[in-house]
Amino acid sequence: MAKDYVMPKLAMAMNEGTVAQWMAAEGDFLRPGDVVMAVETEKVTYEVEAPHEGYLHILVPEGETVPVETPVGKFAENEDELKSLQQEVQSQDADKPVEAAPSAVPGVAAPTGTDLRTASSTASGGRIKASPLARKIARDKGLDIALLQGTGPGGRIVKRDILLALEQGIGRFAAATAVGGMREKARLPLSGARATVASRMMESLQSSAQLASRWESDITDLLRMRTHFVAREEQFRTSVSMNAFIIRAIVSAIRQVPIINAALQGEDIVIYENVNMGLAISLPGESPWDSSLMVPVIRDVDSMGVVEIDREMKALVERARNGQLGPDDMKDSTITLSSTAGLAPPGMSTSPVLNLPNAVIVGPSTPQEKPVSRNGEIVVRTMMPMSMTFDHRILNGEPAARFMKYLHECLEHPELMLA
Amino acid sequence: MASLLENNLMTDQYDVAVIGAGPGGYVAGIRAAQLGLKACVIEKDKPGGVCLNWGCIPSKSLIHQAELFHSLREMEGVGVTVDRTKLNYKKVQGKSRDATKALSSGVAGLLRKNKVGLVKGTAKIAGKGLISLDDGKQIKARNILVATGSRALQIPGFEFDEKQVLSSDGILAMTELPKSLLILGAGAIGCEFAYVMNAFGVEVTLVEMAEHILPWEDYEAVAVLDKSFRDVGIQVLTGTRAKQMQRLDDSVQVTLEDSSGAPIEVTAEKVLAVFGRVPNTENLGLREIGVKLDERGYVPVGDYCQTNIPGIFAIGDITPTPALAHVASKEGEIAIEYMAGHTPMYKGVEPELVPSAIYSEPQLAGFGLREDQAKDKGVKFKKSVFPLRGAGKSIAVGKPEGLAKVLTDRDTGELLGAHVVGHNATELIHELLLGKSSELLPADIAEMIHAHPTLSEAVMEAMRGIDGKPIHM
Repeated sequence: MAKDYVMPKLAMAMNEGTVAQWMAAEGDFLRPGDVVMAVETEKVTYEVEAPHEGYLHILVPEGETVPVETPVGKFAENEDELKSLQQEVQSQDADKPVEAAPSAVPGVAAPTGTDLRTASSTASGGRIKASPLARKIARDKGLDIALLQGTGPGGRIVKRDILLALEQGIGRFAAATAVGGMREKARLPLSGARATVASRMMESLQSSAQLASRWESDITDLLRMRTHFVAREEQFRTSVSMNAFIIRAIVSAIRQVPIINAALQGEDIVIYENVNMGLAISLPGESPWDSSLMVPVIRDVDSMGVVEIDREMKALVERARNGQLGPDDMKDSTITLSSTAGLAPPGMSTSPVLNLPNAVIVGPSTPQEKPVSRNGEIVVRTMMPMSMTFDHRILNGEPAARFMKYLHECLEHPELMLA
Repeated sequence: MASLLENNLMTDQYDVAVIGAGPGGYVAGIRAAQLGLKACVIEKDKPGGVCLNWGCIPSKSLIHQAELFHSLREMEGVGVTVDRTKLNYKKVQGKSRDATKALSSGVAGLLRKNKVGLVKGTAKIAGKGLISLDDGKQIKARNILVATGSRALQIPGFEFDEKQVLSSDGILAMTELPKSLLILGAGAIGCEFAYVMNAFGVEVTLVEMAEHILPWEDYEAVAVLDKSFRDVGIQVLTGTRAKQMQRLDDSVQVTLEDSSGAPIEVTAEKVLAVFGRVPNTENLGLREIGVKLDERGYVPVGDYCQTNIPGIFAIGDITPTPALAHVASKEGEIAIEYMAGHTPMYKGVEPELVPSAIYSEPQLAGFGLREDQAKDKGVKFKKSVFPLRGAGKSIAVGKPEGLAKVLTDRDTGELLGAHVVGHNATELIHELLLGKSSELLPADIAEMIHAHPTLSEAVMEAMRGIDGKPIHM
């Protein structure tokens, strides 16, 4: 008896998943542990292994999103069973057998039989069948061929399907049209990662009591201190970044004000012992106009020095860029760092939106040299714009101010981090 | 199904009766049987139609022998001497008849093998689903497919006598070579016989009313053939019309008029008049049961080759689509698949996917848009022409004349038309046609490895010329 192969629930919050890629082909014999498919959830793509032994029969094509526990394939025990599974699909596709034909109305026979033109445009392996010309026109017109039905041989998407889709306005990206003086450049679907960010941000702003504060820290001494680490890049096997020092400073400040590292859980405020630093990372988006945002987590940063923090952080960023983050990489943050340093203009300060359920998000930005007064003299120092948003439901202004002050002092006098 | 078939057998009723066993009709009959329909094909003459008996097939036999005869010159170049005065044209013609006999009985065999009834007789549609034969028998059929083909167009003043003034049938039946031949009409048939007769040593004059021979083909490709014809001594008169004709005892005198209106007198032993074709739509009972015909006698058809009367379908030369055997066959398949309850890939033959083929030496083949049409329509196109001599094989086999020409959409790269002239052009065209029908882009063919040395390399090089540069140019 063939076993159903369902979309696995890979994270608590996962309700649906997209079959990003079938790593095994239709009819392949698989053993437990063999990689079957790549599943894409809101932010993560990961490879899923076969739970059973058997011959794979694919039900859901690549790119399709289904709720968890929905069968996406079957595992046949033997080749005969595989064949009958495959035939089942064929007989569903093909309407009526040829024999029905002579019974057609005398005179003109009605076309009730097999449609010789159409079959699914998506091959069992999930590849979209389209002619090179159809692909070219679709690409030029910004049309997503995955949404089209092919009418060419074997269900292939051909030029006429593209032209029809353009005429009917089917396809995700509309062609540039002028409506009331506004000309559309592109139409991006609010789906996938984009939709996740949208709903998270709305939820964050609507369901918590956010308060943002900004200040400037003189990081001249910190920068000087950092040069000693950078000079020992070979020894540390990393050129320790400013972010690592900022994270270390946050950890020091949390030690002084533990309620910063907290979350609201139902009726309780939970203060965490360890510090798991969520790190907001911007990656290339699905379209050239957008970017995508991920928040992977460096665990237990409170037990690390700046060198280890830096190495962990860079490894995480590297994996994020390669699309290799797993669901475990994204969970259990207790506080978040969202740095716009280098991206934003010098001196600009931000007010980042809370990454719920974290109580606090810290947002450093691009430093700049400024004239400041030191011991009654005007001197030029490197000033870093800092900001912090906190959830007023969890903590009041007083601990927040104390945290900011200590963080500020750690950045200005980095030796305090030794405390 | 079984009971239905038995029922059919008892009442002697067919699912489909096809009138005419030409390349449209016999293919339709076989396709019908393949799809489980009970079918018969009614033919008054031999199976295979004009194409097989009095057209494509016997002419290809003559052309092949003309090529052999012509190539004797090459043999002489290496010291082989052949006495060409001993040519017995009666035997040449006899061989062409042998080919048609073999193929005609082959068609009959195919029909038999597929259990398609081959009914001998002249059919007339007597009513809805009813055909009466000239011997008084009747045939009942749910659907009737009319595939009666065409015959040579006869123009007043130039009536065929098949002795001095020949139709294409007449010249195929001819067993003795004339000294001179005047061909009126430089379409495919006219050009092919110009080549054949010239190769066998007949003095040939080829007359065409339009600006160039093969007026429906791309001029740049035709120019190669035109030059070749003139080089071998065929007198080509374009922009020239035949005004009148006078039959003398042993020759025919024709008065021509060139584009300036000046008269030209030409005397030839025989005249081949190939002005075009006329659909065989008379005496079939079509008008009587309400099937609409246009003013020239063609049957206009809608989707799936349906006439305006339900249950009556028309295919091939009697419809306004190009009068080509391969068009008729495809239309037959489309009509039958529709009758059998399938939905064919196409509702009719797509004109731009129909290849033309002219079997002279060099050959000419093409499909889709011509350059002059593209310009007239204001199509933004890219053009690439690769001379056949750039493909080493053409030099090696001594057939360097010709070219492969492709036109593509400037923006999308879609193959709009292709025209090949040269040795084996009628075979070379199909790679390009597959490219068109499968919607390949120039790079798909340009990047594909072609065996070396082949003439097909010219096709690859022409495609390279669209987006880059051909290597051998």
